[in-house]
Amino acid sequence: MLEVRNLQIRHRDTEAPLVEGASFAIRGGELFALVGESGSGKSITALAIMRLLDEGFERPTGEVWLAGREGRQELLGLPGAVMQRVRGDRIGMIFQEPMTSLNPVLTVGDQIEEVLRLHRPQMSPEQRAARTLEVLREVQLPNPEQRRDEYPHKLSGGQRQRVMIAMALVAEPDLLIADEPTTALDVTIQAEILKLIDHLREKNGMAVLLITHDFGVVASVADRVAVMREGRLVEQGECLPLLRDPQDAYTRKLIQALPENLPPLPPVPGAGRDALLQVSGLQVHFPVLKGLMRRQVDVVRAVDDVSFDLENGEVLAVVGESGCGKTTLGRAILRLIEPTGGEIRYRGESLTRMPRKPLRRLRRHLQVVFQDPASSLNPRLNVLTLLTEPMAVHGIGTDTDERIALAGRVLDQVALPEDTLWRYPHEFSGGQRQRIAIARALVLDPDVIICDEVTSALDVSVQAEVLQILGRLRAERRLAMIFITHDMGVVEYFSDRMLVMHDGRMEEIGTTAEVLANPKADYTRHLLDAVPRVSRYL
Amino acid sequence: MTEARSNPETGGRRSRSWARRVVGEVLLRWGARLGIGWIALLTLVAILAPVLATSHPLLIQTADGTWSMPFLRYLTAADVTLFGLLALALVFWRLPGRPWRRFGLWAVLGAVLAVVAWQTVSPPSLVIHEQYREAERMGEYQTVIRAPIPYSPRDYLRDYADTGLEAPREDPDRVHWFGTDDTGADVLSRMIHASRIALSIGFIATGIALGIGVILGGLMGYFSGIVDMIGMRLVEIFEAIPTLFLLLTFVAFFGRSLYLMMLIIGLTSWSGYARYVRAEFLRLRQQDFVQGAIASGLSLPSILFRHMLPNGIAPILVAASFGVASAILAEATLSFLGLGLVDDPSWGQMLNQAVQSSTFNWWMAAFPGGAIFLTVFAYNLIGEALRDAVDPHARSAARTANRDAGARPAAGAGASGATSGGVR
Repeated sequence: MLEVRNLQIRHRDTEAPLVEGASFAIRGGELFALVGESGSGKSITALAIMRLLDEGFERPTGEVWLAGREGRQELLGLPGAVMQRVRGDRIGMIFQEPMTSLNPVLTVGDQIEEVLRLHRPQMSPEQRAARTLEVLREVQLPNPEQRRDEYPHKLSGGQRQRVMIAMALVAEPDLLIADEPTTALDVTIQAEILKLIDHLREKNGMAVLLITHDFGVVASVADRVAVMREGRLVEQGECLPLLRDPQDAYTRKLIQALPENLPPLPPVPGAGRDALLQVSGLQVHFPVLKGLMRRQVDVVRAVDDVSFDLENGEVLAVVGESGCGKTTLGRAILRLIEPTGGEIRYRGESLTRMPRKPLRRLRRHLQVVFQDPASSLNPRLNVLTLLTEPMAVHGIGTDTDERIALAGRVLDQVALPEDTLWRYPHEFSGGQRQRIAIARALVLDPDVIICDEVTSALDVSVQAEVLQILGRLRAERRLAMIFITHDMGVVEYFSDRMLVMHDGRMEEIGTTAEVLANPKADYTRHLLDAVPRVSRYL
Repeated sequence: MTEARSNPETGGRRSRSWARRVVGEVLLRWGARLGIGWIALLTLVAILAPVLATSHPLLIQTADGTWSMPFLRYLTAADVTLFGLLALALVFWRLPGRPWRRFGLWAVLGAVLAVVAWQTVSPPSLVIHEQYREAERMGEYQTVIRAPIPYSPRDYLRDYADTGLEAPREDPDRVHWFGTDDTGADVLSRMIHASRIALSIGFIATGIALGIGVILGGLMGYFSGIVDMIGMRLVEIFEAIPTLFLLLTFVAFFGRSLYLMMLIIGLTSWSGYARYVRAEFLRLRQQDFVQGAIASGLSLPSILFRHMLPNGIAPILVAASFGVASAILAEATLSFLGLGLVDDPSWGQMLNQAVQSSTFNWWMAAFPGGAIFLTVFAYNLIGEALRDAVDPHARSAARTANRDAGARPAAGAGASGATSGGVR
């Protein structure tokens, strides 16, 4: 159906080509996955096939042949007007971010019909409306008659992604390009969307080019796979044989970096001797204000009645889908958000109603590392200042020289060179920045670190590095961690106990092995089923 | 460890701070370079105005052989202070030490100088411009060194001829590069002295507005809630006041004063800055690094001024550079309407004279008009470049980042090599 031969893409500002000599073919009815880490050139390849690269790029060289009901065509050489008819008509495309890829001022139905008006001008308005309804039904959007006349903001992320798929499919294309279609979605919704794409592929017999970084997704739906690294296809072949027995060193490294394949963590000496943190009946309610007088009409129960103990050296994973309150829980424990009810005790001392001054002294024992390494470090200060300022506030180290020495030692522990101190955050990659953020938490020599999705924004190989550094630190310093995440592989690899949250409530808590082996709550079971795991398919 | 502790100032490894990067980015653009060049030239001309354009000779040697510098007697306290500040700035520029400390010392010394100057300097109130020219004609001096433009701004041609108006370079005996106005005063000289007003009203009015805006906006953004509510209502009230009409009213009631003008322009234009700062602080409060700073137990002043303000200052500086331009325009407008200063020349007032003149004399309109245009344009160019430089999405910024990354491959490779070694 689609054949790409020796595709080469260059950007005007960089010397090395971004995609070099990529060749692959997708058969009709086949789901072809293009896998790679961020920056490997997989999205650019898709955009080049659609001829949607912006002006900063040079015209791609090579050949892109599209076969189908209108015969074989070479896309790179087509005139712009003809190409416009190919887009949307013969190739449909869905993007990663469903929140921004729909136009907020047009109704869902209008946006789908617009595709038809363009590509099926012979259809009457009634036919178009009927086809729109049909395709909305096809993507299993609940209440399609009503949804058709609604605006995108009324739909959830998963529903918007369904609308995007409907838009891509309404003209019955020969090829669907899906660029990370589920990355921004929760696992349970991801499972539904993947199932839907797979189902529609079988029904319509179209080819699908799926771009993803997630080997679990690849293993669960792809027929064939190509692995991309720095613009080159290092390996391609049938999906399961390739994953089982990768031939290329890079593919092997990627698969070995999956949490389930990582070497076991070092044991923690003297873990679990004393209870560090006791959380009982914690509640965080946000008032819903309405009207001119800002009267409180309702509350949002972001965290409702959560209780657990944390012992030293222990890792407690807090698991749940987006919006379940796991981040709010983490921030409430640190009192970055004021809890509305319940109690938090650190070594027997209640934090909940502690005045600001003593709380500031206590903060050195409870530290936090955030999800997004791009925003968690102050871009205006160099690493030295970032690390030594908290030390000075808490009276660690007697003078600047001693603090610099301490900071250097901590950087060494997170495997960063010492000259890091004199640089600014923007000079580092995401993984390096995340390690700086960990170092900032460590300089205060805390007992507890709250890790809020620390590996979610990272590539799988970088994630492996960060996890191993955290594991080693935990063994060396007997650190306790609250590990907030949605990634079950990480949970299984890294945590001793896990707490499952749903809609602000605690569904289940227990040792990780036990919960994963036989979940008690229905929700946990539902969640675990939805997680695509490579190991399940091999 | 000792290596890391070794003096960071001398180590080539130390990387550029954000402020330096922005300045570098701004200077990459030719528009900004032109703008900054023009403003710098204008500043220099404004400070040195009494030397560049004066009727009094800079240096004379009388018949009996004594040397003297007559123009010194006519310097005002403001002139002395400005000269002193310029000299001090040149000295401190070369002096080693931290920039902020040097700047502070410079400001303190400048303030002391200003107080002393205002106490001691008193130029004669009656100025006879013709006095030295007369003496020169009589052959009283052996040597005379005159200023490049040998006419004071208020050196009217009463003692010289009846008709004042002269086109540029009309009379070979008295060369006026930009011609003269109705009263016979040299246009170029008046423009040079007027540049002081243009520059000072821009800087001071915007400074007042910036100070109020940053403080109020910062408080509104950080504390939000009821403080924000009251603050925003205040902002709305001030936004409803039309600056020009307020200025007209005040001029009508309290007479004409440059300082009053600065104050009113400053007091009515802070609301835009306050909105900017408020929005930035609201956004920054939610940022992870601010939350991280709170979680590290840092104090409120440190969070506000070290972690939040430097991150939010960029859009305000951009707005401020446009604000300077609009303040200059406001003063020019007012002077053009004939409500500006009476005694001291300003560019707007010179335009007004051009209009009031019985015949249309192009040099009276073109030169001051061009100066207003160039100055406002220069500030706009600087603002534009600053906006591009602080905007991470700007194309040229990305290009520079690429070049930076390309220039430092060794450091990056070393770092990543070390890290992968540590993990394996």
